[in-house]
Amino acid sequence: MRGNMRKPAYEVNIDEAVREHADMVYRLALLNTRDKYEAEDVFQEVFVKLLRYQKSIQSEEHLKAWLIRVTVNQCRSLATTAWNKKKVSLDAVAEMTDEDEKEDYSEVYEAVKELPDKYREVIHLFYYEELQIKEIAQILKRNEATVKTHLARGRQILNEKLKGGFSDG
Amino acid sequence: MDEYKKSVESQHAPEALIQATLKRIHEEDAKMPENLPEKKIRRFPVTAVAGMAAAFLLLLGVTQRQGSNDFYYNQVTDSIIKAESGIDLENFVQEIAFRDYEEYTGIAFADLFEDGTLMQSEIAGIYSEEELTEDSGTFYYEVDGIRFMIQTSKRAQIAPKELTTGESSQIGEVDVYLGEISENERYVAAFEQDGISYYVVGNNVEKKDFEKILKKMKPLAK
Repeated sequence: MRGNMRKPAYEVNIDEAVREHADMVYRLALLNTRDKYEAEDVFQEVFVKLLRYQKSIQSEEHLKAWLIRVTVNQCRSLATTAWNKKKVSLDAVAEMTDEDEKEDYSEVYEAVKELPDKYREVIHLFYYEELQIKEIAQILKRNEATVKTHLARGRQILNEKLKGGFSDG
Repeated sequence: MDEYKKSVESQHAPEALIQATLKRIHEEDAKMPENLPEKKIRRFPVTAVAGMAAAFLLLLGVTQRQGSNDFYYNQVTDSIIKAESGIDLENFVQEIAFRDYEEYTGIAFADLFEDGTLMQSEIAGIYSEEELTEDSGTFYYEVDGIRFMIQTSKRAQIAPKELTTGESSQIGEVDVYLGEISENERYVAAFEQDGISYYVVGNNVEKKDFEKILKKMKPLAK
């Protein structure tokens, strides 16, 4: 009976996919988790999931959209269970060096990082990944109108935080 | 936004992380269970399940009694496999985290069997305005060396209607609809318990082993 199944037209090379999309997934995970260790957890989970779901990927574009969606979802899942994952003792925290805690990112990046999830995701995908509103809506499963609203609201918050220092350019 | 882009572009996935991930992927790949049903239920969760049920309507055979214990088995054909091809809802299905789904259904899927192992899970749903409106969980277990699949849903009746309009059998205190695909030792079972629909598929198993699995399932062992 298996002969009746459609053969996938596109096949994912997992190793190549990890290499090619490593930075995209890591950056999105880092932005959403705000923690490099959690970002690393998300990174691994996303690509392990790709191994399981690779047969459903239909094209290179689909792969990219899939990775973004799964990364966002994985970050959200992590956020909901983060309380249980906080195992770092107070002593360990006290021993952390400034180097561990602080990365030298721009003021804009720090402002985007502090946005509520729904705005931050849209801002990043729109400005950094340069996705269209329609594509973001498809990936995040939101209405286009909702994405536009989130984008506008995100911009507004950034402008307020950065005292008008946020520009679209 | 140039400053933002520069900050983001300065971030790179550490090579050690990439290596560790590739190592884990290769290990997971090697562990991928063989002989599990090849069905990718994730590709047709819930709304598609309704379509699948319609396919079942056409494909299920006549209900008839089989002589195993006191159970009725509704005869089905493996033509049901055809129902999964050609359906692709990937574009509007979102994955659901395992813990989120456990919370959503109130079921501890890892503990569904006293002495079983949950080997793999695939959970997906459809969101409308960020509200989960439909759900489908697919879980692969091994119990006493027997591998099988369980599909669940809180929002949808996943059991094929034709099966549930056939004869039912009682396991524990639950009415269970059993189906048998005679050609290749595939058995299916459908039931509802505590608002959750279950659909169990045993592939290449003996009837007595399939029944043993069902009796060991916590929702049926109550």
